[in-house]
Amino acid sequence: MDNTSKNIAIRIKNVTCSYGGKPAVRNASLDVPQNSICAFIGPSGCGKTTLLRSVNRLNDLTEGFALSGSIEINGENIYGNDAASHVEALRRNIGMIFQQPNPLPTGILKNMYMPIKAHYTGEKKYFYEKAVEKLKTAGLYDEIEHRLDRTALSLSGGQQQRLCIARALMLEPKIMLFDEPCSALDPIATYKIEDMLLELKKERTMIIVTHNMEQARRVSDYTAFFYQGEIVEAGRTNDVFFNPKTELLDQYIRGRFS
Amino acid sequence: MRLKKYIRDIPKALIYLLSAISVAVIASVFLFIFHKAYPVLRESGVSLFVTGGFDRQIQEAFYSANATPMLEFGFLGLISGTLLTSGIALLFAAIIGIGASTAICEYAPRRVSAALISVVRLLASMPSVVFGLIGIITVVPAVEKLFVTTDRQIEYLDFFQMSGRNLLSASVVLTFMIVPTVVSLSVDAIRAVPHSHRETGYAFGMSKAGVIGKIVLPVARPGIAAGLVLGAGRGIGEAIAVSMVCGGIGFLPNASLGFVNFLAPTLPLAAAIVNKSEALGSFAVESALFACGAVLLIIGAVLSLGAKAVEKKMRRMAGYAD
Ligand SMILES: Nc1ncnc2c1ncn2[C@@H]1O[C@H](COP(=O)(O)OP(=O)(O)OP(=O)(O)O)[C@@H](O)[C@H]1O
Ligand SMILES: [Mg+2]
Repeated sequence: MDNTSKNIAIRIKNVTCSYGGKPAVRNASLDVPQNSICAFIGPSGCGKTTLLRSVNRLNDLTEGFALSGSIEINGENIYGNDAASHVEALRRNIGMIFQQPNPLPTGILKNMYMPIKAHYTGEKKYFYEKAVEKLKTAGLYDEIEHRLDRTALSLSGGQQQRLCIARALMLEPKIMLFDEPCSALDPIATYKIEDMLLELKKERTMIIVTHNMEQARRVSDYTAFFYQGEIVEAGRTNDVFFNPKTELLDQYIRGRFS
Repeated sequence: MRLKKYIRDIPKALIYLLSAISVAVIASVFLFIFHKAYPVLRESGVSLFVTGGFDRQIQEAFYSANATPMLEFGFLGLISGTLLTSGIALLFAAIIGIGASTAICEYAPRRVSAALISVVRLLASMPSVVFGLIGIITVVPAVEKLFVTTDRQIEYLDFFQMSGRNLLSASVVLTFMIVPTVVSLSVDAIRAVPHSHRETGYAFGMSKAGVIGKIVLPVARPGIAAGLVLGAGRGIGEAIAVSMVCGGIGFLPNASLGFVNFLAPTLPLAAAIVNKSEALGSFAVESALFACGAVLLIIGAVLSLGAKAVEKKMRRMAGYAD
């Protein structure tokens, strides 16, 4: 990838991860430039989720998890300081979207307020306006305008996932991580989310794990191909998809294995 | 063919029959209680609920001739005793129970929490007379030592005879009894909160305490509320243990006494039935005690309707309503 480090938002350097001594990611290095989307692709169990969750230190919660190497965000090694307040501040500034939409079993607006109320006190009116703005960004507001105080569980799967994205936006993250955000959704819901990703990219850096080759090609600027815990190939998405350097990647793209 | 059809219908018929029997049994219990209570309910009318004086009345009733029974009662002291003991106990139990279940589920090491949970479940199934004994042996002397001084006894002699058996002791013993129920249901509810909800909170940079307070407990709230409702039911209906430590006199709280109200004897409805059951031979006493039972049933019904209404409102506030 680009070697100019001033534009690098996320720099993963020689990262090795293991669960209870069992390695899951081996010596991974990768740079993600500012305001771009990087796709993680590769067969199941090859360590994509593990590396993704290392970027906001969410794996710290998993018993037996260990990481060596460094991940720099805007030049600072996020593993350089283990204080709880430091880790919490890191997570607060990174939005994360999970594979299964995970709204809380409470009202739509309450879901929107949850992250912001956890960190700030403010006027209800301000929270409300911000929530409406983010719901609009997620293209959800027009659909659910009249039932904002209904339970989030009454939304369809696609709407729930867009609600989760809108909710994550409440804290204005400059970095967002998506772990197979569309794998539980139908094609139309998937397109809506992809459109949103392209919109969000204008001022955010994002990593998306996906099993959908089309999706990786449509939305990402860069692609990293994982195999058995290693990043085998990484580069501009066009190069990776149209000029694979390794036999392995070539076969994977052609759907020879998954 | 015909035979086959009959055989196929047998289980269904059996289920209908059994449900009919259980409904009939419950209905006849109700009818029996209200039938026995009717003389007192009829003679006392509304004043049963708004006047006191049970301790004196029950004695008069005992000595009244069966031909001219004394049937006018005022249960206000008993009703307030029931509501106060269970209300205070429920408040204590909510605080202790939610705190304890949070500690057990979220902070205790796995082995410790497993051990604690088995202890709690054991306590929840302990016969109430054991709690009464523990109350007599530990709570009553402790309350006596801490709060009941000779000076105080003399000062309030005009109102009541102060001892360690009082509203406070009864509420504390009830708390002991309710806490295991609350903890046991709350633990189940907290454990049932999916890991993904916690992860959501952590991913937003919330601290562990924040995740517990803002996500885990709110999501577990229906289960915790169910524990509290069960606990309230147990508190209202508890007779033996409370009768052992309550002082046996239906003193009506008096605002001018303030904290000292807690040191006054009390007599909840269920405990009254136990306390006065030796006098059951008299027709009037019998009717009065069945009236206690009837009022208990009414309170229970009102509270369970109230709990339903509150639940509905909470669900609506939480956005469940549809
Ligand atoms: N919590 C965990 N405890 C132990 N091992 C784990 C844990 N999570 C993942 N692993 C292991 O780490 C390896 C990498 O898993 P990871 O979830 O990162 O793969 P993935 O590429 O995201 O797969 P998928 O495409 O199926 O989601 C796997 O061998 C997996 O079994
Ligand atoms: Mg994964």
